[in-house]
Amino acid sequence: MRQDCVSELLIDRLLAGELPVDATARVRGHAATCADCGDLLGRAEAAARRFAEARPPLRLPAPRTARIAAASAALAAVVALVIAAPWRSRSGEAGDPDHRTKGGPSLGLFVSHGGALHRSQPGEIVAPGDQLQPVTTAMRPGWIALTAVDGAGLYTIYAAPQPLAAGRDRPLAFSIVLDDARGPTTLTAVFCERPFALDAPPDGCTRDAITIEIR
Amino acid sequence: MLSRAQVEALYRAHGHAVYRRALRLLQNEDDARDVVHDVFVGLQRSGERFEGKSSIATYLYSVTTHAALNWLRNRRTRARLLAGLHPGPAVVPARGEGRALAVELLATLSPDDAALAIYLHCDELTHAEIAELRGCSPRQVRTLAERVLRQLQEEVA
Repeated sequence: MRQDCVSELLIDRLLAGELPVDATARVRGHAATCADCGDLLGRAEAAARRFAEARPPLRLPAPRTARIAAASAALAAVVALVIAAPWRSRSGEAGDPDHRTKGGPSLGLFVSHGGALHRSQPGEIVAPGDQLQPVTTAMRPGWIALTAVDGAGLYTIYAAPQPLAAGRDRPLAFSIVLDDARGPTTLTAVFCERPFALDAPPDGCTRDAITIEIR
Repeated sequence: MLSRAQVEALYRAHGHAVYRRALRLLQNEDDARDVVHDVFVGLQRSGERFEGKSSIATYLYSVTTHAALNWLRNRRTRARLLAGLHPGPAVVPARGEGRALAVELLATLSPDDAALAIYLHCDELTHAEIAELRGCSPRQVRTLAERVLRQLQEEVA
């Protein structure tokens, strides 16, 4: 094993779209010149394709009915507040969904399409099956929640309020694989300095949104 | 607790990596599929333990390693591996013998130490990568690695 050879863990992170762009390029560049690592990466990518094509069903225990009902009620309240209610931006002005407070925490997105990763551009056109990796940039630690509304009007909470680390382009702890719901999807991050309830974020919280088009 | 939809989304995105990891450690497709199921059901029950301390791929790598090691500790699995060591007059492949010995040695370690031994000696991860998996410093990894190596040497002495 050469000094710069890649581990399976690093390959997992690469395929999950968790590596920064420069690290992704470094790993792929090395794999292109190293037979062992190229083989390792090639087999991992082939296994991922086979899994996507013939994914065994996951038999999760059924949730309790009471939990579903409670969650639905909470979700409705969140949808009403997050989508419809006017928003107070960091500066105290009414918020524009695409407005980003200068110097405040921000949301970014990397798109993995056909194994290639790139930073999302405004109005990015993506395809079902593409993988999205949300990233955040923040000067100070805080709290974040991430929600989305897709082309069918379906509201999803991808991340309930959780701690946010300071730093540039820090990936959130998950990625999103797009299903076949076509149309625009808007991802909205809510940033607060302290723990907060998504249906009632306190004054001083900010949000940042990115809209993509799934075709 | 993660929602069913969240776990299913994680399964779609990362199931292949969990399966590949389990298969590498268990060398058996049926066992690997069972471990994948266990990992994601466990994620539904205790996903909050993740808490964003590491990347999800790193977290799943660690969880799958522990789940696979637990599977190896399962009596039936060990019995099958050991039975494979003594199949009668046929020659036992050296790889199978080494594997059964490794499983026996790993069983003498605590779950965390067994995982550390796998990271170091099978996966050839760097101390920095192991530090991220375990949520500690590379220096602590070095100290732990020396202790685990000593323990393994005593077992085979």
